[in-house]
Amino acid sequence: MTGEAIGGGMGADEAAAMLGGHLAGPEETIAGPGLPSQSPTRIALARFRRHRLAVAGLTVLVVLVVLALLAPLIAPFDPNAVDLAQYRRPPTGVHWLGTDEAGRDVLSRLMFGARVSLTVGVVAAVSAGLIGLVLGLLAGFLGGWVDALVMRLTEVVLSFPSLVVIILLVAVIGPSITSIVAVIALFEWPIGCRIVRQITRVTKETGFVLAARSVGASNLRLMTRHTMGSVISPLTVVVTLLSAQAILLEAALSFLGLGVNPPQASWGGMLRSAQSLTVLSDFPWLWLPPGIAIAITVLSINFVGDGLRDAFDPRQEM
Amino acid sequence: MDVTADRPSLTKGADPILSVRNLETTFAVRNSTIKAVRDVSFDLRPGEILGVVGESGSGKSATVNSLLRLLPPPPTAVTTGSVVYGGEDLLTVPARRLRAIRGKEISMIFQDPSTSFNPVQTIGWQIAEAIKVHDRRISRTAVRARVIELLTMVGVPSPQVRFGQFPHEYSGGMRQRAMIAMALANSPKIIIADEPTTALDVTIQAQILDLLEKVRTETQAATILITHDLGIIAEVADRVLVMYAGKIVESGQVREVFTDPQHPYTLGLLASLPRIDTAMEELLSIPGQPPSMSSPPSGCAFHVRCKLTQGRDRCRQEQPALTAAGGSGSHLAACHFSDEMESEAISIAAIVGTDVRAGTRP
Amino acid sequence: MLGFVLRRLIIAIPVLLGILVIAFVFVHLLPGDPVRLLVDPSQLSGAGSTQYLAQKRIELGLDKPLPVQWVLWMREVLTGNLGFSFQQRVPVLQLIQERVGSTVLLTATAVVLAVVVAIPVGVLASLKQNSVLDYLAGATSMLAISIPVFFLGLLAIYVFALQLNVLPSGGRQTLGVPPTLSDTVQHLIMPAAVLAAVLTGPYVRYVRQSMLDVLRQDYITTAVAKGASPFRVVLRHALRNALIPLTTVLAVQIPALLAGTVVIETVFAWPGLGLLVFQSIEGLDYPVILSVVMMSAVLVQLCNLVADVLAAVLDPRIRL
Repeated sequence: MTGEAIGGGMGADEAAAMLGGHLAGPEETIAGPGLPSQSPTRIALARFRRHRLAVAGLTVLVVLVVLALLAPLIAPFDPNAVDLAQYRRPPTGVHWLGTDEAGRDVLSRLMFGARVSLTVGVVAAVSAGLIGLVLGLLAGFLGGWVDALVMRLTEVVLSFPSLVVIILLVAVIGPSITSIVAVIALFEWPIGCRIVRQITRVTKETGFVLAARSVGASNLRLMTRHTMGSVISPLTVVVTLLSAQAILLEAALSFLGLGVNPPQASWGGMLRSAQSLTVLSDFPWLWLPPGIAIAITVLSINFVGDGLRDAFDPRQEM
Repeated sequence: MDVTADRPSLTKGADPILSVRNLETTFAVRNSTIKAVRDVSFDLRPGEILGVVGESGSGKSATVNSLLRLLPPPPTAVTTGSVVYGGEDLLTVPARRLRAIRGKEISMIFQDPSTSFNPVQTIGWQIAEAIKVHDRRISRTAVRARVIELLTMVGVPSPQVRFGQFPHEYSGGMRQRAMIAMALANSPKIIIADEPTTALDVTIQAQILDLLEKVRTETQAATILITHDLGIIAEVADRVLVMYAGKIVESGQVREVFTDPQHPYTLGLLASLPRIDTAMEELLSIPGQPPSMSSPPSGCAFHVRCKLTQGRDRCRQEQPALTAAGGSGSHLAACHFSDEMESEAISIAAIVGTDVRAGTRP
Repeated sequence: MLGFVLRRLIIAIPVLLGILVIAFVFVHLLPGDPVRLLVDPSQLSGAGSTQYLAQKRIELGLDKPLPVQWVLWMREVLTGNLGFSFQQRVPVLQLIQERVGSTVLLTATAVVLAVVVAIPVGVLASLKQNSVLDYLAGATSMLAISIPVFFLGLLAIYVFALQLNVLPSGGRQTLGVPPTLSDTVQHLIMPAAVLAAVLTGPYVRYVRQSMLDVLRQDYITTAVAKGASPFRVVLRHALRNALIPLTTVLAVQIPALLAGTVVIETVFAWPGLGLLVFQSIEGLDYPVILSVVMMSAVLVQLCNLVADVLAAVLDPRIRL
């Protein structure tokens, strides 16, 4: 396997491929001084704002997060309140999205399900990003056998189809939000790691790190101080796209019956009922809303990721 | 630098084979436009080598790439004016007709032979392609024989073996020879060579220039030779166009232009050219930077770097026209004050220790 | 050529060993005694089972230190002893052999479909950059990447099987009738198309980007200046070069493809390895899941190898 675009995911590895190509290195961080009004952050912000789909995606995400946070206050019903009198009722003025096989309100379950999806997405992606950051810094900065070991490890981990191996692990340790997050983080870190490593290697060779070393700065200080600046923006893109990936993984796990424990609501779990052809054909309000919710969430995150990638890309002119 | 010797193949007064009039090329780049070629007109005569010289970014390459419509399509690049070849305007002929001319009657030699060959096809295949796209019925063996003949002609050793090799198996100089062979494949009337030696080692450069001269002698093809190196112009060209900021600032016979430059930019180029034929105490560089092509200076684009300006408003406000200068009908320059060139040349001579103009030694 | 493959194989060895280490870690992570994962469960009931287990433990070397165990376990794996299915009480290898054909049929069809669609779409999008077609292709790819596979599958069943009633909702053949080719094809269309849709998204993006990169190259201008037709320039010069990095991309998508089959086969009741995994989750049939995981990882490495060899064949600059 050659090149940097190696990864199991569908979005994040693309980011890796495109970021791998240019590897901003230090230019981004030292571009500032001469033009104080054109700080990299400000330029990136301006570029991001120009990316209409990314702004739309961000707006949708903010709304989703607010809905999820406020779910206990604004949800019309208790998501787990069983009411067998209201068995699989189609949408009405009371139950906007109808009720499920236990008479529970679909809309309320959808709102509470958002909490699961978003939590898993954010926490798993950030954890994976952190693991990647630490290992990438170590590999890139120390080089030698540490580098070789970490790189082989990324290849090994990337060889496993993440969904299948996550299925195995979750089946072993038992499904819960914590175990899903942990297992996703454990198998989605290599892409971030490779990018961090490559940038670290570039930064290590540049003059100002050599200069800092010559005046006696320790390796650890060098790593943290000088590399973080150039690493942070590409890593943000990767983490963003990974969170989309994590949400899809969680949904697939729940759909396969390895998600959060019932009766807790999750989008993938709600779709599980559609494995029955009867539900699929006669009760579309049970499975269409969670499916659409996942698609919109993931699409929004992917747009934001694309927008961030364009915003951080120093090749683009303003 | 011997530019005073007569060039045997120089064909004075013949009808032009290519006539470029008021060529303008504009590139659209995010939020701005770049005027790469501004009102360029010139003639190419049969059998001559026309040199085009200027700093990088002066619009030389954009000019020649406009001729065969090799630039990205509008709205990225827009070309206006006319390029008349054989009674047809190449800027407006149908695409099919243009394709029949490209590579057959007018062919190109590009700057960097390492990137100008397709890396995944053999050199032989690529030269053969140049023949086959213009002659679909030619037999495989005939094509191969012709390619081998071409490779032999440009001095590629063991062409039978070289035919089946990939570009990365060639050295830089060999690749440029192969590129020339490809340009010659259909015995074109015009060859356009865009900085053909820039990417090569100095020793290889001389060989390639010799080859280009040999080709001209043998094929009688007219050649447009683009370069930033006045030395190359002096060595092989018959006539020269000097370009600055997308415009022609001086043109004429090489001898006229080198012995009696009528534009301060040309003189500046001569003063910055290292010479071995005369003792120069120092080289003068032209002060300042080449102008921005998205917003070129007003008036004469050279005025910000020019010593003749001396604060005169005319240079800043009025674009000088390309008019007859220096006495001969063929010599043109675009400078309001070309009559002051003589004293300028003398003042430069005082600094560098010799008159930088060719053939006018003290 | 052979030398290249051998050199490439040697590079793959540490990774393959790493895969086997992780798989071995799983064996010990799994609940219960590791020896139970490797022996015939039919021997485990009734009298003498304790004795049988003890004997097997010694036979398989599971009483030895861990590194020795790993080596011995690898010997078992490499000779085809992947253990026995808890649920079905048959060797895992036999189960896998029964199912692998269906999965290969499904995935191969999907990959072919995806490539056949993605190359022309990606090429056209790159040639007409920023056109309606380009935006449409971009938006569709983005959508394909963002929709959960199983949701797309459910939608397809809902529309084509339940509403329009033109395709069967699942399975590999109609039950009770002798299998025919057209029957299999009808069953294959939906799962293959949904799986292909998921792959097509990233492929289109890569083809487009790769073409855009190639079209900027000097040799494209050279080809145009020769008088080659646009058709010829795109097919013989641009595409040929653009496809080289795509071999890697194809390989990169293999893990996603395998993960996709688990979900797709479950949704469409397609009797392949993915459905086997799903059924094994429900029965906590660890030896089966572990074997499929291990096989997938090895398969991914194999695909990477094939992709590298393919790239070397396509690109004369890579020395064979």
